[in-house]
Amino acid sequence: MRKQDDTTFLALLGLIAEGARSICVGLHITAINFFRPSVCERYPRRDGKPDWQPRPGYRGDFALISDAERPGGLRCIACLQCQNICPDKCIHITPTGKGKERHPKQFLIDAGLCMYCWLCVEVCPVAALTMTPDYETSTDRPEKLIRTLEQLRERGKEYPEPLKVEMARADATSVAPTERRGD
Amino acid sequence: MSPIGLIATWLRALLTGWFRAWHIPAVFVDILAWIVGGVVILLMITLIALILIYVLRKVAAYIQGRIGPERVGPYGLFQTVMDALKLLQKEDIVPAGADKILHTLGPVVFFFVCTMGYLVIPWESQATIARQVDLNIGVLFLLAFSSLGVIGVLMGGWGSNNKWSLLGALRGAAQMISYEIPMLLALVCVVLMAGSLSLEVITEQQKALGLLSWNLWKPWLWLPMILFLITAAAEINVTPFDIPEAESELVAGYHTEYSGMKFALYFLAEFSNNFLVGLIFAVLFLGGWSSPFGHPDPLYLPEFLWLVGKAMVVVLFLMWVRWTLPRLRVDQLMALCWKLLLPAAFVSLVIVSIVGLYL
Repeated sequence: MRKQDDTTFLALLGLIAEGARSICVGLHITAINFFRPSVCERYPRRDGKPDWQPRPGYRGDFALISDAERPGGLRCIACLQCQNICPDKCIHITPTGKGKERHPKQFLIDAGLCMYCWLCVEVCPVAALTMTPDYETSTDRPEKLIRTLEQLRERGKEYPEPLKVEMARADATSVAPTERRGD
Repeated sequence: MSPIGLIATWLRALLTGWFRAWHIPAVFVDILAWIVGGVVILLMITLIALILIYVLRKVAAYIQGRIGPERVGPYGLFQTVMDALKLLQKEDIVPAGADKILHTLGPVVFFFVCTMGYLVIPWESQATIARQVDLNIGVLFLLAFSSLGVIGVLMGGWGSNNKWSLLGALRGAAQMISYEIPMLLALVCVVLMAGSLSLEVITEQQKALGLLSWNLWKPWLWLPMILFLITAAAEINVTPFDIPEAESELVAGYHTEYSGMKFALYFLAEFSNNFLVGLIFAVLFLGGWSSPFGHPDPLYLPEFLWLVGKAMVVVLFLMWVRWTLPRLRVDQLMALCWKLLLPAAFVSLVIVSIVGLYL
């Protein structure tokens, strides 16, 4: 439809043909897409696949790794590095004990504030804090999003080692090309 | 006689008998028949709209690489039913400062106009309970009522006391009135070749050899056919031409301020319009109720099934286009209509007239 005023009749026909061709190309592409399998992952249903796991590298609910030999039964030394590096200021630790006995008395993470940037996990000198693939974290009240020491400890019992930082980084971008649909 | 025609005749005979026994004048049989016919048509429109909304969402999902509704019922089949139930129990909000009468009448008029189109569609070769007479000005009737739809849109947009609604309604009015003209000329081409304004006659002429005698295969009707598809898409506001609703610019256009059943009426009317276009296209170019395998139908299927099936194919094509093309700008839309489609319609009218003279 550009340059309408000085187009000749033949040029106009050419424009129409070009437009019709581009519409056909578009229809072709959408038709191809129609018959391709969907990229969507169905939200796991309990009746469907109970053992469904998110892709490696998924950052879900938090956990503190347990260590039976340390006071408090946790690896955490309450060095407050995670609390200080957190950009959202969502970690609040109350430390207790001196020297090698130092451990958290209370460990609060506000999951509603957290942006899952992984900095706290990365900074942890003893690999005590981690994020797990648990994805069902929604609640009906914001207070319930605050994780306490007990909750973190309970979750940590299921995960003896933290998720690998490298793995979490690499796998976020290296989904197999056959599984992705580029266009 | 088709099964539906048989049932209709039987019901009529039964009612006539009863009414005679109860000493009620025979006129009331007719009145009851009209009411029943109307209810049947309304139910059918609702059902078709529900199905079309589901199909539309699924087609959109598949084209965009998604899954679409799948939770409610098997394959999400009851999703639209649940949506309709939800709309039924929603609060009906009339905005402050709105013209209450216009605000209420808008969706009613729009829906009424949409349903009127269904009256002249020749569902079967014999008269059925829903359509007892063959209207000899069928095409004219359709055009008249499709142009009345603008009033419903304008009423809703003006009565809402909202700038988005008004902008949408004005755009809609401009678009529908403009595209009415090339659409009329495209239809006139078909009417010229058929020599009749009756949709029944146009169908009858295409039934002889099944697939081969469709208007689709007549080269001089290709231009009117394309013109009709484009203008009809504009007339029912589907996506390349959905500027009256333009979500990204106008919230929801003329039905921004509608909620509950009034919104549902607009929604329903839109989808029934969509299907009506499919029906008209099927009647004009795809042989209407006639079987594609020749006349009489070698498969012995009810004739209205063929019509509905053909209309569904057209509707699916429109959906396909809908999820392919981006929306036109307002000035592009008007330029397309007045500078391209209208001259093309006149050209095709001349071609068809010449062919009609010498054929």
